[in-house]
Amino acid sequence: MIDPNRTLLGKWSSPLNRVRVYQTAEGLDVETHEHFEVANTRVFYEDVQLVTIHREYGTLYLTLTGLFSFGFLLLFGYMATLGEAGVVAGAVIFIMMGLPFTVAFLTRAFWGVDVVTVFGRRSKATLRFKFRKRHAREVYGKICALVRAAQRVAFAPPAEASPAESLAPPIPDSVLLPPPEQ
Amino acid sequence: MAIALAYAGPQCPRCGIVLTADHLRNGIITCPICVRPFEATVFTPPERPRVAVAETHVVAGPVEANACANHARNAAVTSCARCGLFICSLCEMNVGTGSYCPSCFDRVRAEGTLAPVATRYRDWASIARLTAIVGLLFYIFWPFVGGLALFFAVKGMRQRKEQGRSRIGMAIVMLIAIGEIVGGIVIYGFMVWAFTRGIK
Ligand SMILES: [Zn+2]
Ligand SMILES: [Zn+2]
Ligand SMILES: [Zn+2]
Repeated sequence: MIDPNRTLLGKWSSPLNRVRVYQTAEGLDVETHEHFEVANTRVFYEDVQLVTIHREYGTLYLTLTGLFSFGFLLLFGYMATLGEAGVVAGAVIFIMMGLPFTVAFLTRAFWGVDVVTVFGRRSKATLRFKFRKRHAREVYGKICALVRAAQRVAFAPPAEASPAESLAPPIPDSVLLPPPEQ
Repeated sequence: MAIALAYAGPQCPRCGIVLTADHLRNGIITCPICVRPFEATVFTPPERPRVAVAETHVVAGPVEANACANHARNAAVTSCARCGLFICSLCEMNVGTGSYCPSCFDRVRAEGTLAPVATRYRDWASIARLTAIVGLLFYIFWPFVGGLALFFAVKGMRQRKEQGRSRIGMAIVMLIAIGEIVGGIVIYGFMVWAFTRGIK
């Protein structure tokens, strides 16, 4: 059922779902894991109308991680005023609970996420890349090339079509042709 | 299902607004709605010849219903099992194992693979993983959660095999599950032993 020759182009996890995008011979397969269910959708290369790339930072993500790290920082600041034991306890709490948010906030604020989106006629696929910016670019180029190739093959004009020159009307005698060069 | 629902062609990748043809061009595009930039490559695939169906058969549907992708005036009755496209009862090609849109039906038939192309299935592997790992916390119930995890893992293993994917993860889950069963039995044995000693 699953194409054994497909290659993983990208994967992304969010609290809501996990998405994997595969490259197959005829299109991109999007596998979305959600609530212990897997949904498969496909974007055929022949159907692709638009491929985009952009960098986003995610306002909600930055706000939430920023608020959490700031909250734990405040807690640390408050505990630090309670004496030496407070400093230690506050630091432990911050490292255990606040630091992951701070790291998440800073990495997102510095690097952002590169998003490649493929819009077909009937379906779309989204690929996100956290650190591998060059790879995101490559994937963007690769998808464009695959789409171009597939659409050229699928919609190439039939071979028996007559060449354009023969369709041009003959030059009337009244037209003065430039004298042939000597 | 929700994935293919609202889709209506090329959108702004940043805010999701549907882009009209005059906004589609190669290079940097600034979204007319959210005014944020993105880089784009535009393709213009010619329309694939559609299956000829009479446009006049209007199928009445609820006012808010989604329209058929091929017949704007018809209410969609289902979505294609392969591409998720909304289709009305005229377009629907039901092959018993699922409904396909005309173009997917042609493809599936051409490939000679009219086997069910499942778009949604239960992922037993992740259920098994969760059962085994969360089960570790409840050592009182280990033999039961272990048995349950093992049951799911067997299903997950079979699924992974059918899909031709790695089964190492499921093997580890099975080991954890067996560990839980054995560990749980040892704990029960110890409890019984301690209890009988206490009586004497
Ligand atoms: Zn926008
Ligand atoms: Zn379809
Ligand atoms: Zn229709």
